Amino acid sequence: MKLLGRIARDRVALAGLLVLAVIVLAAIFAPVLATYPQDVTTYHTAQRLLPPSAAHWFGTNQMGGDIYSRLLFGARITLMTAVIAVAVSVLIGVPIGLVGGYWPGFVGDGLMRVSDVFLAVPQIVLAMAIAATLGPQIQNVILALSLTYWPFWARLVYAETRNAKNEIYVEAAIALGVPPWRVMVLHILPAIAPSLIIRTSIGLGGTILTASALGFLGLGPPPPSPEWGRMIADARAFLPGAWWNAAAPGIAILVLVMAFNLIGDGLRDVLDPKLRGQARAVAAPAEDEAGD
Amino acid sequence: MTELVRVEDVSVDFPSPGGTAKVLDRVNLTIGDGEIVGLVGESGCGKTTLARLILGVLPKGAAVRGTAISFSGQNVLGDRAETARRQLGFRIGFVPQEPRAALSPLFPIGVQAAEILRWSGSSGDRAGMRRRIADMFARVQLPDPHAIMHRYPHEVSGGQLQRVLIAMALLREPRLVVADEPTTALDVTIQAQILTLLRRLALEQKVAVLFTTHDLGAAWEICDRITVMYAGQEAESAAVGTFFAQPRHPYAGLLLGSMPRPGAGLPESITGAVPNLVTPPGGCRFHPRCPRALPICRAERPAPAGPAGQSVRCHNPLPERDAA
Amino acid sequence: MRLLGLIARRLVWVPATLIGLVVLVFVISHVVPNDPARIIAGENATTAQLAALRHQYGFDLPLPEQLLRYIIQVARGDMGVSLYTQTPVAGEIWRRLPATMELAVYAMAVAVLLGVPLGVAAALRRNSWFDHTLRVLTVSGLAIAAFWLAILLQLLFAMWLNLTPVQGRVSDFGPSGITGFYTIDAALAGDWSTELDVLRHLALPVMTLAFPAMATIVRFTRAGVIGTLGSFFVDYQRAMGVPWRVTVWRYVLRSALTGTLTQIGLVFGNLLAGAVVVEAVFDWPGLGQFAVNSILQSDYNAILGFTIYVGVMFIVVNLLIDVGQVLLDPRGR
Repeated sequence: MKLLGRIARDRVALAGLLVLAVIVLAAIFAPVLATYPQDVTTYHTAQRLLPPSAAHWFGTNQMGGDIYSRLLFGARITLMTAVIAVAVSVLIGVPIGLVGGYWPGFVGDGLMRVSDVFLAVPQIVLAMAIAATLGPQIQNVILALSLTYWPFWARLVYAETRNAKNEIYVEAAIALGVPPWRVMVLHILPAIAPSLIIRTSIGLGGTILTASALGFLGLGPPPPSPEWGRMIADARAFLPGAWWNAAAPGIAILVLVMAFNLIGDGLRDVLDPKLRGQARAVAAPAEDEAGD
Repeated sequence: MTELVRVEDVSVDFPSPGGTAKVLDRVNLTIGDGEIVGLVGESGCGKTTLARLILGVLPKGAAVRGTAISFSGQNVLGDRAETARRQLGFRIGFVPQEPRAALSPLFPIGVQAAEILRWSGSSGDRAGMRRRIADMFARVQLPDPHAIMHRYPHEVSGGQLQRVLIAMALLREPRLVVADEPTTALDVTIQAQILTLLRRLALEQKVAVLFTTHDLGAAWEICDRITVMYAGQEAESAAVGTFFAQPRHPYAGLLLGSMPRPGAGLPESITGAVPNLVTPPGGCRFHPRCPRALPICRAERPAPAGPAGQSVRCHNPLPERDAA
Repeated sequence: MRLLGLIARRLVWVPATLIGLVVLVFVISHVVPNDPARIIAGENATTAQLAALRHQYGFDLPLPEQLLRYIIQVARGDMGVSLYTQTPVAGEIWRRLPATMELAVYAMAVAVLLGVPLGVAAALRRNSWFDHTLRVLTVSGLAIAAFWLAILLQLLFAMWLNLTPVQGRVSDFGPSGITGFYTIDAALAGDWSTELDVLRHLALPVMTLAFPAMATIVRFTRAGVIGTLGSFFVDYQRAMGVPWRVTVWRYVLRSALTGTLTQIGLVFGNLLAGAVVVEAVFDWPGLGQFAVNSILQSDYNAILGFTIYVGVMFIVVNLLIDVGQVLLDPRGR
């Protein structure tokens, strides 16, 4: 709570937090807030590709679906995908990184070599391969993202754990005979928590981008699911005429990812003591360019 | 002796998390041509701020007020000190406390020395500049001057690096060298060598030196005159002989008394602690710790007084001892 | 010497990482039992035809044996044939590589040439309106979906303003030449109308890829410069008469860039990831499009071949960055 208060003082992070809160509430109350909740699945061919109006705030799509209503339900898919995928990859990656960093010799090297294999190609390529093999379904997207994202966390935690292990209080705990799992959970994990929290926020944003790219390529949940990436892909056929069709979901992605990134930035300013000391800078002299 | 630098009634404030810190309070300082002045005081007494004020590199946000900061009689207060000084052609050499921090780790020493030389009004080709740098490196007794020019800072010991910085300061052909605790970061055995070198070169090149230190012994070794500072105010300024024989400001006296001396047992310590500078004591800032404090000390900062060559800012100075 | 040691230490792991990658992709593409023979033979093949094909390609062998055969085959430099087009995978990748590289190189160049000066300028004018505007731009650069930005640019520059083509790499035929970079080949041939056409086709995909890359570079350069401006050597040089612009653009920038350089690997990775999607939008005949098509068609050999290529490219880039790092920072030598 103290943390929340400190973030709230950073205006930019506060803006991110508010935007995120609005989107989360919109997703939760989508059935109430949607003007045409049934439009997520039903067709009205008479109302195809209507421009934004009082009746349809963001216009309608090629099936006559109300885009505003579809966006609200799409937020549910996007948020759920990102939160579950990041949570699973954190739960896999963090213990692996902790163990690897705690025993950096044979065990750590082995674990890091395995994560190197995953990191040797862009995440989206592996995720595409997995999602394509398993078939276009939301669970498969989540699985594909989780299976390809954990090595990032393992790497991060590995490096941070190795640093934390050199801290005097950790060395002291080890010397006192505290069992390894206790050292990891009670001493190392709290020390690396700040950077984990920062990366989680930014990672949620990145995962939303990757997930929507999968949707865009047709590897996400099948139509008529209101997944934002697929909405944009479907809208391409009707450009440049029905531009609103492509604009709305893209803006939704932009705003949501931006919110997570701003929160991450704010957290970094608040939590990262390394960056806090860098505020001091010398006054830049204005125009004294010539030497004497 | 003609006056080279004069700081008159200058105050400096820094913004700080707890409020405005009054780091310098109506300070006076003069440096004569070719004079070696020691600026002595505890950590946080403002001596580094005063040095930076003269160098023209105060941190961002520092507010400067006062009567004058003049170089060779030209007042530059109120201007951008550094620009104004540059226009006067008044060059200052800087020997900082941490030689390693003063150099970029990514460039060879020779390149950085040449950069200083290039912007110090020197003209000439690269070969000529390299020769001048090597000559100066030899004068500060660096072994193998040409080899050192090709090394990076991390490949050179701290003591040698401080010689490099002294050489770089002198390469500017300055009127004044500001040496800010130049030996604090060095091994004790090296300190004396560096100090002797500094004094010898200053005398040879007829260059004035402002030497800040918390080490009275070091000041005694090389200075002509000593100015003692306490909590952002100067307390006393006197020729080195007079000062050590007969300090007049109570703080100066206690400072001398706290110097360890062989056979004198444990030195006395001064009771109390340096005040915080956000809410400093009024009047003479030393009065809460001063054994000779009078009621007036609380209210009013004493004006400089004393015989010629000695300036004491105290309402109740130590009595003059009979010249024995 | 330290440099050679570093390269050697890194190269030792390359084969192991690549074999791991092949195993990983092999496992991914075989977890669900698919029948690749049916892909080759098509919908109307008879059972006998399918069996013959399975035998011909070795699909009837146990999976571990298929994997081992594949690894040995790749080690000999043969990546097999695409199950769809029946053309050699290696040849297809070589043919498409220049298209992607041309895109990536230009995007990287734009990102660095704009990003570094902007990052320095933002650091020097911290908290000015310029800094704030740039912050908004970089934050959106990192939050925008590449495929959406691509569509937005198509809509604006191609469909509404008619300044550029909507998609493709060239209007008629690409210039013939050895590099495969159309901009270079056309220039070498002195074919300026093709050159202009190629540049107009490049503009939108390069902008799409460069925008997020630039955002990353601006952010790291800005943070690096601000960090270095706090270094004591900046004060020292100022006191010693070195002009501010020399200190900033020579000494501070060099320090800041050593930090930015480590991010180039990340940026390059993002560029490749972005290329996968961006090539799909711009119908760009490069590796990204190849990857998407192969994956959507379950073309195992093509997927494996592509993955190995990208893996090698990644390893080389990261190695180059480590070498650059050492060259930039003498302390590591």
